[in-house]
Amino acid sequence: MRRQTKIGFLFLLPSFLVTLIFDLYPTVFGIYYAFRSYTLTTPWLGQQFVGLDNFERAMYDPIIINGFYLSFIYILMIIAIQIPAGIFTASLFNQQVKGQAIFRSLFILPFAVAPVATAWIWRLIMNPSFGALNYFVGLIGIPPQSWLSSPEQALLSLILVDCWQWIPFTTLVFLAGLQSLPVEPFEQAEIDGATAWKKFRHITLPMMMPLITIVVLIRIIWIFGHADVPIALTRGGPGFSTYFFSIAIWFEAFRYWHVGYSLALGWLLLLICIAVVNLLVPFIVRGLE
Amino acid sequence: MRRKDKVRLTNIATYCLIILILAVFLFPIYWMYVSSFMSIDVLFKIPPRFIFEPTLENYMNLFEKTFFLRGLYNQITVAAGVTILNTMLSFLAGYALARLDLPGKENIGGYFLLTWAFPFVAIALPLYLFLKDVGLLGSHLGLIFVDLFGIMPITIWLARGYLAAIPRDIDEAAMIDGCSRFKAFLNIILPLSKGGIAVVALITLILAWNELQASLLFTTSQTVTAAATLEGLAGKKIAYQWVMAGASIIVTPILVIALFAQKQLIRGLTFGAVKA
Repeated sequence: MRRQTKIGFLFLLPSFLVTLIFDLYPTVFGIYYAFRSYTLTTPWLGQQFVGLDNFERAMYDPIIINGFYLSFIYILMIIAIQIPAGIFTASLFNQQVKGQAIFRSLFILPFAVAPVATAWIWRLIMNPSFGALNYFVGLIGIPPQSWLSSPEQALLSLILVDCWQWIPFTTLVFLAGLQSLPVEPFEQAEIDGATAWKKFRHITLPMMMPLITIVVLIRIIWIFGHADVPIALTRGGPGFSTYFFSIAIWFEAFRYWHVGYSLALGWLLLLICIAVVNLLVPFIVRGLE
Repeated sequence: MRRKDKVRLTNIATYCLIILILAVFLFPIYWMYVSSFMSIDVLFKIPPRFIFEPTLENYMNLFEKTFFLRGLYNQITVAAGVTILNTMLSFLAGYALARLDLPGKENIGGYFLLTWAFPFVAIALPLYLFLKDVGLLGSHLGLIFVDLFGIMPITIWLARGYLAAIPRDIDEAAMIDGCSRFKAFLNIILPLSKGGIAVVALITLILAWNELQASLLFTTSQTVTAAATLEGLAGKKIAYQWVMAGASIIVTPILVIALFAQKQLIRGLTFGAVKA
């Protein structure tokens, strides 16, 4: 082996070992349990090999099917709101007005708020009896709502909280994108007499596509992997109205201690995430070149 | 209308819209700070009070009646550990990916990207069982390693970007002068990338500090972080203002960092796809 290659692997070794031991090993090892019936609260029943039973059960489990559906709706609505909202706010922050640098900096703040604080702040603001949100909607003539504690509104409330935290992120990504756009195509379009909408549709949007895809990727992976704020705010309820797929995995694991079933579900989620990465990353790489 | 008037009118409209959007997005943060100074009878008033007599009793109660301070100590320990380790490992790996001639380098970068996509909820249980087996469950070190693998894929990518921007001639010149590869990296390249190191360290600090899921799972009452302590108070009505005090303490340092490192944060979290 060439000396440089050997040194290179030595440089990579520590970080590789950390991911191997603490990330890859438990993940791959988890599949051992996915084929077994094993519940931590009843260890005397042992770990029986059950083949594909856990996966089959997931296909017919109404909670899981509902969780898939809810996760899908949740992600779809978040992307459908946050991408256009981000582009709109970004173009607003891209205008040349005084104090813009301060406005932009301030806008990052919601994104930097820790999840535990996010959960508590919105618990307080969305409280049906003394929350500030009902006071504000009252000012424009809307009667008090129950927000997180109503099965009809809980999902929308969670989307609202997520938008508060993440629209700043999408905005600042798109703002950076807008700022690095080349000037020439716009000048040419100006000469050709294109309308603002035409310029946006045919120049800005295609050039922003890689960034939009990155944001979509980051959002999907993040929402699948992080159930902390939704769990803190609704615990999947009321009823099963916000019982996302990731919350179902979490509760199967750490509420019911169904090791086998939870890991089968976890592997399904893992495969979905790997598929999403493989689908979107080539698109991003091609777009950036 | 004259063109100049029109420009001015759009400017005013832009201003108003920006102020309105900022007010909506910043209100929850403002409300967190404000309610941390409210006494219990003020907080539960309907409609909410915007003018009231501030009190420090929530902070006192938080320190005296909960384990928040111990949690803060734990959270600082873990975040510091993650930041130091992660910055070192990221720059080591980043250097190999940016500079050295390795077979399958693309795949190595892709491997780290893939581990980033592993959903934590899916691997939390096997990780829990594994940490229990090796005796790291509930220890600071266990939590540090768990935080580490979640953050590293992002920061390796970032460090690689910073290192690739340094001209190759510099380390080659150092090595002709008799430095080993590692010495050149340590004595020449690292001092040249001070800015990059600061950015990687700050992003690591933010991500480690704002981590909640693993801190809820992999800690004991002795090692629990401040964030997890606050989440543990959920369901107790009495706790609202205490928690707002705690949340204000946890959130403030990160808000300050984010305010000043806003562009670098965004660049880092998009794997450098956004130019800062």
